[in-house]
Amino acid sequence: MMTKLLKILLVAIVLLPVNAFADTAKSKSKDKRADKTEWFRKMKECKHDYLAKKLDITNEQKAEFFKLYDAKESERFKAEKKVRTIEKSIRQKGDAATDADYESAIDAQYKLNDEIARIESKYAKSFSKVLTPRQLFRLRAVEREFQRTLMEKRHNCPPAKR
Amino acid sequence: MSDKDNLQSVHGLPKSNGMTVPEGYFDDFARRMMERIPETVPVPEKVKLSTWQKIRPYVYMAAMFAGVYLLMNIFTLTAGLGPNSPDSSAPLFADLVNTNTAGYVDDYLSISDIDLYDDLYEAGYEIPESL
Repeated sequence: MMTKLLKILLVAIVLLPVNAFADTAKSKSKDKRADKTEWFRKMKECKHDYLAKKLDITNEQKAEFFKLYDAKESERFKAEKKVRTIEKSIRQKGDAATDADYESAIDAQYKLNDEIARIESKYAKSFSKVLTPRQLFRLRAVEREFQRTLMEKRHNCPPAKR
Repeated sequence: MSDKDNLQSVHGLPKSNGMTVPEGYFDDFARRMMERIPETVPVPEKVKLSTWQKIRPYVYMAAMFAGVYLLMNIFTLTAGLGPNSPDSSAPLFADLVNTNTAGYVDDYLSISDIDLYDDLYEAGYEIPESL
């Protein structure tokens, strides 16, 4: 009886760290996802501040404009993410990727440009109801300026560490 | 006289080989033999398995699967290829941002924010209060 109990205890001891490690791995992945979500939220706020400052967006314009702007960004991200997923799957396939896979990816890449143009154009019309023509004209330039600023920051960052 | 008789007479050997059976030995031989044989052949007792012995293969199998799962988790974590990990698959982009940034990004070259953000996040960029 005692031997049986010892055996069960032994198995439990062996399996416990395995289970705990699997839980830790899961938890780490969850933490990273939460961390990334928070990072993206902060980045969105940072961009809002930058655009507001550079375009002299008034407090009255802010709520309406950023509601539309976030909707545009979300649509754009979705379209881009879709193509990135296709590209990633081809890279993962490596040499096993077929001509059809490449053709499909190329097609998606070119369609993405059209899709982005469509989204930008659609929202430009909505923005024009909130922003002045001067602000709207400067919007794209300020967006590029924001990217450039970030790229300069990235240049000073060490290689990926997360 | 045969050759055998000749040989025996030469060497002085007796005709009998000296091997004899006690008197009446075979008379009750069958009875004695039957007495010695047991009436029933003993059947080996069936080994009763303990609960542990019964479940042991299943426990080992579970431990093996747990091990495989654990290893896969380790590989995923080390390689950073989890389903939720960012797509750090833009080597050209990484090269680009690490060389000469402004030179590449003119007004007509569009770089996706999502790629830029992913790269910055992976690099551990801390977002300041304002840019």
